[in-house]
Amino acid sequence: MRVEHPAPGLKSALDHLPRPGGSVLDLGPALGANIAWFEKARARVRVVDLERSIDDEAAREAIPAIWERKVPHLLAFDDGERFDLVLAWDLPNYVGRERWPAIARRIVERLQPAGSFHLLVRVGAEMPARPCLYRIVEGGLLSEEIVSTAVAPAPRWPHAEIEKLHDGLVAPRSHLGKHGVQEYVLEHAAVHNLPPRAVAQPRRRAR
Amino acid sequence: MWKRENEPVPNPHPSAPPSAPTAAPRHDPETAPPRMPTPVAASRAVIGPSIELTGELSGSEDLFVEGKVQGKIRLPQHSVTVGAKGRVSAEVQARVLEIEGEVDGHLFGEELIVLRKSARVRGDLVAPRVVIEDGAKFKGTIDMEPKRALATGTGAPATGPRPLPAEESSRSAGSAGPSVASASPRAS
Repeated sequence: MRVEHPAPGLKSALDHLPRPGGSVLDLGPALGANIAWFEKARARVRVVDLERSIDDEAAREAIPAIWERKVPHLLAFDDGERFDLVLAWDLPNYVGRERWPAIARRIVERLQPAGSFHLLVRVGAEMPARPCLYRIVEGGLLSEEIVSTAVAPAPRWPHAEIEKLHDGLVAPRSHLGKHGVQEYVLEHAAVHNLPPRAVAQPRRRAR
Repeated sequence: MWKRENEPVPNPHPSAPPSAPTAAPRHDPETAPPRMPTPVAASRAVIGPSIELTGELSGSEDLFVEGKVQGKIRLPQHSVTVGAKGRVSAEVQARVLEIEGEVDGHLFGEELIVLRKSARVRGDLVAPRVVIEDGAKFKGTIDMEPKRALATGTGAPATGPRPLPAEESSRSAGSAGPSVASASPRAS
């Protein structure tokens, strides 16, 4: 089932995408609707399909067990490759709080100074067991497809933690949709003349 | 090594019969896969499922791959279809590329690249139009501005998929990329 929801932050991010010649990093799977949209924008798109890549890499013994060392394999870029727009839709919940900071660091260092990082995070107590699929319907409208009927507990990501997890970025705009998905547009703090927040530290369990 | 077909070939996509390349309307990539602009009765070479080929392949007719190919395929004036059983580890250059099977390598389409829902592709796609059906697995870069791709090096001839960081370091130490047989079997 697909339901369309407003995504004002995405509209803003897409409006600022250079045309032609924009560069987009999509951490989700390759979806025809999104590729067709970026074709119209004459953008170059790198598709990572992060969740499936993590599953694939986990099955490979040759990859180091340390997560930090896996990330360059999962997000392998060309030398000097930078992105005007990064899309991470409904992924942080599934990658997890312990793993996401390394992904975030990799993305932040590859985001153009004036680039935007568009993030969707489900904020309810539960979430589908698998990430939803999102398709661009228009610049400010996203179609959400729930592909899993099973549900799982959803981690809570407060707004402040989202910014802390993305060192050097700030979220000047955020929008909570009626479907329980928080939309963030993260940009370099320097663009807004703001000091970057402190680097996030992983939580320690109380003994 | 492979058989030639001078008579109409059974269409692997009943829903997408071949059609003339003239003025095809723009299709919704998810609801109406584009019709392949292949001449109806064009001759077509077939690499069958039991065939394994290593080397550089060029010629003057369309190609259908159901076997395994490693190396390079250069048919810039013709279409190349990798069937559901096809396994290609090669750089492929064609006018129209349609992928149903597995490809590990860069694809260059003069007009169009289509990844069907059963496709598994890892590499870069360079073509003015790229269509990806839902269900297709793809990891890599899509550039629909071929001139830009050539300028940035994405479109430069390559010998295989983008190496991982560890592979990059080993290559810089002197090891060569995938070997390509000196023999260059002709498809025509």
